[in-house]
Amino acid sequence: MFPRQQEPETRRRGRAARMNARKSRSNRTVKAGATAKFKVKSPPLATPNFQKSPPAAGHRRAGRALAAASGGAGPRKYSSERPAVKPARKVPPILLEGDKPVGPKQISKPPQKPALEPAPPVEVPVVREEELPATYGTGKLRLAARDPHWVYAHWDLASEQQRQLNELSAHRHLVVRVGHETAPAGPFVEAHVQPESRHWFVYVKDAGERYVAELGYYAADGQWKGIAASNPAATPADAPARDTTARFVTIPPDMPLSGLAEGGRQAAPQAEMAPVPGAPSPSPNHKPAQETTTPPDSLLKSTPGEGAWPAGSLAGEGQPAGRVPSGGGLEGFQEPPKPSAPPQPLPPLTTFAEWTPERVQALAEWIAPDRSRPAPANSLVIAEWLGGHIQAEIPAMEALPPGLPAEGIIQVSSPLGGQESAPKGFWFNVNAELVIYGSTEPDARVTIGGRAIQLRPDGSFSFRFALPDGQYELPITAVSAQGDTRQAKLEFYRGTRSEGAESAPPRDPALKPPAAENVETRQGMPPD
Amino acid sequence: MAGYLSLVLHAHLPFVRHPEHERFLEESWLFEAITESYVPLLQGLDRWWADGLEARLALTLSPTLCSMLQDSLLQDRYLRRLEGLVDLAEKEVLRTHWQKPFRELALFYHHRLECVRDYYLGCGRDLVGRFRRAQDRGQIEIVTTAATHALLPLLLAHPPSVRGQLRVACDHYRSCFGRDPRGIWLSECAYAEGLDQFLAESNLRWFILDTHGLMRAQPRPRYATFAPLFTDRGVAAFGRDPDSARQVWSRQEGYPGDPRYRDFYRDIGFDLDFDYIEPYVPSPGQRGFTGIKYCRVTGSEGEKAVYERQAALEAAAQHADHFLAQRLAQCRGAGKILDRPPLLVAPYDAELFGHWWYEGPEFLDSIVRKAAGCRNELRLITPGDYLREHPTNQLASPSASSWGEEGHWRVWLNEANEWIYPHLAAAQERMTELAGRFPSPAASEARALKQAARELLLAQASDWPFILRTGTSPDYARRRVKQHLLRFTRLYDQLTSSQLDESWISRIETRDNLFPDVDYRYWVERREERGA
Repeated sequence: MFPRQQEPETRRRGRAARMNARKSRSNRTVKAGATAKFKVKSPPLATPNFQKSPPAAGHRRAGRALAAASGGAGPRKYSSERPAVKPARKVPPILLEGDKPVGPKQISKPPQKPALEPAPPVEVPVVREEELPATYGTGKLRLAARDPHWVYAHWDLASEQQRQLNELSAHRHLVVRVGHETAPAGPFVEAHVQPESRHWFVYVKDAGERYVAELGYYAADGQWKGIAASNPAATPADAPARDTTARFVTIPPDMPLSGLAEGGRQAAPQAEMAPVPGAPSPSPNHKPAQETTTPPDSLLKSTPGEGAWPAGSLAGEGQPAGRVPSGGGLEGFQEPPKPSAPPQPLPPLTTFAEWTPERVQALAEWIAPDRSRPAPANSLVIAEWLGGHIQAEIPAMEALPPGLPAEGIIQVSSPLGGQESAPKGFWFNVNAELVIYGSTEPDARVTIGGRAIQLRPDGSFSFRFALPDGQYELPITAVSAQGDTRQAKLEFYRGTRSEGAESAPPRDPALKPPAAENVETRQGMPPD
Repeated sequence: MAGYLSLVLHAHLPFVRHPEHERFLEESWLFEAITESYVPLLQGLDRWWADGLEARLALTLSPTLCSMLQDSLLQDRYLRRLEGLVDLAEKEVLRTHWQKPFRELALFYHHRLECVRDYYLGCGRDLVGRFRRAQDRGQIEIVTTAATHALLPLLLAHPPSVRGQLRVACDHYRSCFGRDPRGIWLSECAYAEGLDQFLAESNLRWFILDTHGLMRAQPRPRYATFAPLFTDRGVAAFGRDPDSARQVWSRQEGYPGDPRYRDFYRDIGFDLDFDYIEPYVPSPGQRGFTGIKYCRVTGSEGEKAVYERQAALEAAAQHADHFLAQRLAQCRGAGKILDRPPLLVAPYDAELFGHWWYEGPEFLDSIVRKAAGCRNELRLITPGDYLREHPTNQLASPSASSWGEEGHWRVWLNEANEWIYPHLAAAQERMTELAGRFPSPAASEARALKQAARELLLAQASDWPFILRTGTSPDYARRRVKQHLLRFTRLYDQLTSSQLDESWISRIETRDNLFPDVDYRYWVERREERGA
């Protein structure tokens, strides 16, 4: 799940800082995708205004790097096909096409979060933003458990209604009372809510309990006035059960469960608990569980005539299954025909050999205490540490003793939030890329560096290249449909010198000295 | 035999489909998952089949994900994106002509993307059909999940809503895979007492909980998480093995953090010149992920070094070895104590393998191959297989739990997203009212009722509150919830006032077009449920 994998704030900030502190890249070590801060205008794929220029002039314009022949400082000589008369210096139109100013939005920015960042779409139709209603006028109070010690209460009162009730209240606001379902007189927790609140999270002491809530207020005379009562909600357990009874049942894999559901509910309220000696102690050294040897009349056994399963059918075949056949009809609805097969008896409970205390203890020791705590993770964790906060390498490949306490577990709720190193002072990145472009007859075949390329319909082509330090040759060959061959061999040299380097890797160097002709060269014109 | 290992992959994405925009960022979630996770998984399954390897896996394919995989607009868009990436890789090959390590990678990506494209076209763009085939020939057990991945415990106060999510999911499963689902992945492994009743109604026979869901069961489980429990409705609850989880998920110890693996964030969509990359990013005008990345994890600080594919594959093989050795050790150790072979249940998000952890599919492949070699000691099975071999299990009531942060439902119910629930509560009750009011609707009313059910289901998705809680740009999620609730309310008003705006209904039908045969009658309230 992608939208389930969001990166926490601390990690994003840290990573942003790290990306901003991008150290300069030396082009002698291989680094990926250094960003050009000045760049050749990249010719787009479709260039309707592209003007064809003869190959001779084309390769002369190609490349921006100075050619520094060994020992020579002057420009490398180009092909002997250079025309005798120097044409007027002009920026080739292709380099101006698709020219977009590199604004702040388009500069390489660090990824803020994974691809699943829900950014607003670009073309949003202008629509008046509707709001959800503030109330539905039901006056109901609803309760939901969120975890072992927190419940969530929300109520549906109109603003005016709530305002009037607030005025009647001695405290000028409402109160939510939460108590055990089985103890209506109390004790309860009381939460005094804000005057405009429509919901509240309430802390409750007991995990594994059923609670109900009441919304009300204290009148001026101190009397409690109830407004609404909620449904019950059960808080989850926060510890292993004390009851260690172990009873087993055999359920054949093809036995439909839908009838079981009804039989279980109608026939049996609670399971019978076999007495467990020493049960109150939650320590691992409990006494062995007792087995029941007789199938109880309670759980799972269906009484004839009630909750009979549809014979031979699996639930959900063409109609919602599990309808109560014994007359629990739905108003205004057609009941499916009652099944005619006789009710199936349930399998009896199975007896198992009694476990010895030693065995129980061995398993308890085997299982780390942390097994009852939430284990790490889901995909949220992956997104977090894939962001680069990897603290340690994976331990060596010897087998870890099984059942070790899980001290390695990190609670998913606390991102590592490691401190990123701050950018080390002023930074500066420069790089260069190369654009080679040209044209020929549309039905010719062209290779660059031996690799066949696709011409545009008008016979033109252009390609960008990274240009790390080094000396390069690139033959470009065109073969016409009739078999005539033309070739141009371009040679480039790129050298890099860095200045002001510190103990950190050298910053990206400028490619050329800041001379006038080099400024023009940046526009794609060759030096002369 | 030492024991069983059950690998469970959970593939789910929320329903995101925006025909009104040419390129939409959030649709790229689907495209990336297809390219990097689902197709590689299918290719792996084909290879294992061809090599005669028996490897039973369980796989969730959520109804919303299947709907998107089968949608022709999204298929067209995906193919276009894939072609664009192949084109980009081609350009990269040229661009990196003089950078040998990068060029090798560019060639690798080019080849890989072409293979994905060939596979996608070769199967007629029908990935769901391919998964079905893998199930039909016995390689995988496909399980369903809630229709829109709603967090079911929070719907329990309104039983018809739970029923609706489950029944619609089962119907959809049947239409995709030609049989009834046997197992279910509860969204976020979220369970609360009473849910099993609804599962049993639909004959869903097993589900998976996080470790503490079993360990805090009432009474205490004898076999810990090494065997499932039966609830008193006869549904089996399996517990996640924390050690298998830790080795993959844990920040400290997890495999994917190895420095040799590919780094997720250093994508050329962010590194290269904007003009060059803009036609290939997911959202126009903004940098984004292309899937072509040249760096490896390297370390937590400093520059990233170039990704070396061979070293990464070796790492995956080593980690697979380690993982299996650990599982065997676990089984041998626990097996001495237990009186039956222990079962280790290892569920993961399917998108971990391939998308987040690029070498994940190779890790899985290694595991399957190596497991074949130690089949007599450690068997790869599915939870459904286990129940067939061990139909006798302990009766207990699992604890309410989830695999989310802090183990319960805090992620989906907190100050950032609680505002959703009052609206959902009202909408749910209104849906029941509508379902009861229209037992025999006219054709136009039936359409409106079905669309109302769709909008409600989409509003109930747990993805939205999750994004609101964990995302820093929750606008999309908020908009989605509001939009679905507003549409529902409008449909409710129109139905109750008998003034249907049919052209508007047609419009929203074509936008949110999942579950074409949704049965709104699932929201009818039963007599014994009234007053809940």
